[in-house]
Amino acid sequence: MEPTPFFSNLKCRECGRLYPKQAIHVCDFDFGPLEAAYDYAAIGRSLTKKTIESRPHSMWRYRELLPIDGEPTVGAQVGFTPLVKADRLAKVLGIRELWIKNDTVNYPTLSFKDRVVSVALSRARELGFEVVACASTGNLANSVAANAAAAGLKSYVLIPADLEQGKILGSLVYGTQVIGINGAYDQVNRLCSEIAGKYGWGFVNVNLRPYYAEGSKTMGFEICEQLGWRIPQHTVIPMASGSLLTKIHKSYKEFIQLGLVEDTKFSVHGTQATGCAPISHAIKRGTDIVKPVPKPETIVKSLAIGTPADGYYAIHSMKQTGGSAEDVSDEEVVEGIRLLAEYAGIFAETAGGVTVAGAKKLIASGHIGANDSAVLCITGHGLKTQEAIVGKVGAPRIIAPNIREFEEKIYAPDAAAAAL
Amino acid sequence: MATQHTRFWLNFPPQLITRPLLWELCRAFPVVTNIRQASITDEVGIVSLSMEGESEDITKAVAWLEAQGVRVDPVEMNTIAS
Repeated sequence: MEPTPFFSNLKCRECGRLYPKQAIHVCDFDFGPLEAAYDYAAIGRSLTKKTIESRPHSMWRYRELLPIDGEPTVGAQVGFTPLVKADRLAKVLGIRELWIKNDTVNYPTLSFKDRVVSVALSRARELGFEVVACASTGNLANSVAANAAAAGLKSYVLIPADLEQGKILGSLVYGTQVIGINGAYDQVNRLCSEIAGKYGWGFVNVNLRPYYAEGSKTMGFEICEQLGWRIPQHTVIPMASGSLLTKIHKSYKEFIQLGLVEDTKFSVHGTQATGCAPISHAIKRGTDIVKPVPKPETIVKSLAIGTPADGYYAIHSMKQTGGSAEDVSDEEVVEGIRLLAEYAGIFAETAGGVTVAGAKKLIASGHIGANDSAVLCITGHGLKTQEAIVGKVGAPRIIAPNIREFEEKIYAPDAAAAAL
Repeated sequence: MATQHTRFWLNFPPQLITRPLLWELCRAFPVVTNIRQASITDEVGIVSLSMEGESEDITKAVAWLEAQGVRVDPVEMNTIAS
């Protein structure tokens, strides 16, 4: 296959050393993370708004800015999820204009992880891997299992043994090899990192991480295009490792560099659950040193990363753009899920509750101006974490099957309440 | 036994920053260490370290560091994602 003239190298984020485009993820010199580097002059000559708009509605319409050599072979339909104007929710949160980037309906597994996985697996094929794997507690596992199945790749999904049944089923159904590991979170992490280097597998979030992580940029590209080729004043992003926030920041900078959007002032803000908020706490302490959280305690499992790999870089993205961070309690998370559902008609998983509740606090504290415009990144569907809201969103009212009971128990009291 | 080459991030709490732990480690275990990057403040010491030796010795050396209160993560930390 002819290599792309656009994706040039891997590059160390610390020292800037260049590396070949292989399945490697750490700089040999200083152990800094590697990320994809591009020839922006060549991209600028090829990629225009008109070219992008003429392409199919998927994340691959920005393919020059993604780290693969040929055409994508996995996840051709992923992305281009709706950007919804949420006027009623804006009113409740106290802001002039609010948009929801709705990745709860991303294809095929209802989370933003389909973006990163389709890049990682397309690259895995280019590099000749026949087995792909990931270590995950939910959304990533589902996405690797589904996309590998569709692509005909053998896959292994490594999970902590005590994971919720729903998440295990959501991977097993695709015929992937699900391996439950007994042990504390740290021990599971260590085993996975050993496995990743040993058997020549394409481990999407280890040796394919530089490719995988770049997929997140497409969320930012889409936001700009869907807003009419402009960068939003404020973007509120949930943080686990912090990678999504840094990549959305990168996407805005790339669009500015390519002249696809104007260089207007923008801020990226991060949100976490208070039970595991190492990045938010560092921002609040005014430092870029992220203190690990040994035992995360929150219902927001998908953000419960105690040692966030990109925490340092996320802090710098927020600082550079005048953004800030906020963390919210589990009660506020549930309230956030309810607000998003009741005022925008979108059912999000717990990470979505973190974003909405965090945005509410950032607006109330003035970090996001009440007269400004903001985009909230909602990353996964609520059907995946239903247990978090069971018993907290009311119950159906039960009546006998006759009109009299309906009128007495439902219609009349509701009409009386409405008249108040 | 095969020699292994492993890469770690070490996280030193403030009370251990002044103790020459890596010197102690090399005297106690037959492993070769090499610091690649370090950042030390009043709050924390962060060191990226490569360690070479027999697999069993590396395991013991890591356990010893952890017993002293150092957090030891493989450079692939956060292998598990959501």
